Amino acid sequence: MEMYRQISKNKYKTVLFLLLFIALIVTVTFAFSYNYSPDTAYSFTLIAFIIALAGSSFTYYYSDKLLLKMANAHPVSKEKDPYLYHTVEGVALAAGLPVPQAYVIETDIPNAFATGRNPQNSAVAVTRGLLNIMNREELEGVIAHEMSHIKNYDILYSSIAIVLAGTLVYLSSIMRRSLFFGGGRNRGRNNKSNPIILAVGLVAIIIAPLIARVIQMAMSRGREYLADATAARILGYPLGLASALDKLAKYNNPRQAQEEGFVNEATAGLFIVNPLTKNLNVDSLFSTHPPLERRVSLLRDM
Amino acid sequence: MWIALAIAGAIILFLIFTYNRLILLKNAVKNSWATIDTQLQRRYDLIPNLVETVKGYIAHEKGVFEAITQARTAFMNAGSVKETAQAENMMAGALKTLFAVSENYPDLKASQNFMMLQEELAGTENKISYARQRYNNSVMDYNVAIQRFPTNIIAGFFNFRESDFFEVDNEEARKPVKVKF
Repeated sequence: MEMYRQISKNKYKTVLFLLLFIALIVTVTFAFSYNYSPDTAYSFTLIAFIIALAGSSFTYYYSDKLLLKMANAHPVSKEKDPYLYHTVEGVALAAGLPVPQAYVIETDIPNAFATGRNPQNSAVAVTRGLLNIMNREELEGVIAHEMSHIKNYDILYSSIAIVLAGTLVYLSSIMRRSLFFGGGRNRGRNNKSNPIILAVGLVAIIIAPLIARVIQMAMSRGREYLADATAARILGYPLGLASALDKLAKYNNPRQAQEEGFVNEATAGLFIVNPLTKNLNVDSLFSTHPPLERRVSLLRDM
Repeated sequence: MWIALAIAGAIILFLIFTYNRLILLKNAVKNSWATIDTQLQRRYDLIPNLVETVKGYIAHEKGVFEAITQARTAFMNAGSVKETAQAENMMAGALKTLFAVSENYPDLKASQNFMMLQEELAGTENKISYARQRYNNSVMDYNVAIQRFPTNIIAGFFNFRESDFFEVDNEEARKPVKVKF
């Protein structure tokens, strides 16, 4: 039962976070328009949004190819890695998805990621280290978690979050610059410019990017919980993934991952556990993934 | 006047939306059933080949062949989901017995044909297992939808009925297969 609760809970949370993002953008725009000029405020917001959108569109469309290239992943064939191929095929069957292209990253550190803008253009990559240390149930669990990201359109959601967060960052940056250079261009609408609202507005503009990041990370963590629960549902068996996560924690090695170069700060959040995090159990507002112990205990309780 | 129209409009939209959603869920059930059926059919088609291959080696193990024939007949006659699940369970048991018995016949075990068939059947078993999980998930989504309020009213009106899970009812069938040599 817990499985279904987790699934609906995290889907609602995503909607909440997206609304929070929009509310934040509206607040910052309002703060600026109230104190200075509405027209300037709206055009700034529009510009910021367009820049963020343009920047993210390219990444979104080519997310699969880019990510695989950056990780030095090479595609597997049925003949060379039949075990992996059949597992991916089987889990795709259980998930009701078209079979994604499977890739292997040649490194000893166990990890995995999924990418692709929709199920028809998707890929799953695992490291050689993962194939070596996981048993059948654990491998199924990991693959199911990755395919859940594909099934739940998480690449799309995280791109939306990036566009919204990016809008806030650019917007805040533009507004701060305009305040600094242009001064207060009060068009006489508010002859008695309320200093409290002015101050609040300034603070909002300055800390908006920080809040954006917090919301973005909270959303990322929610989608990870969702992927765990969806994986358990697809397989009808949560313990394989739980056991796999325990193993992943044991073999975590951020320094080696950094040296080997198959991951960087930008892509680290997309792996099943963050390969660059020293302590996977940390419970911070800025973590891409939830604390590992909590993920495992949730799965074991399902 | 306008408020009444707006409310009526909202209700109609809700009806359309809900009905279409039920159609989608119902077809998801059908689709995932088709997947199981494909795999079961594949296993069914491999059986004669298997029987031919092993007949020469273990002809006197009559129990094994009987079990397979029974299971195959059950599958042929299965109409409903429950009957198919029962037949599937019988066949899985019969195959388990056959492979267990074959452990005693090194000549058979070494035969290329046998090994290939074993491999193919193992693959099919796996796929049946995955497909079964998906089917049961889709049945659950559909059943929950037609039972929940207020969707249940609409479901009842349009005669959406519950689907059966792919499971084996009787306790006998669930017991592990005893292998007698």
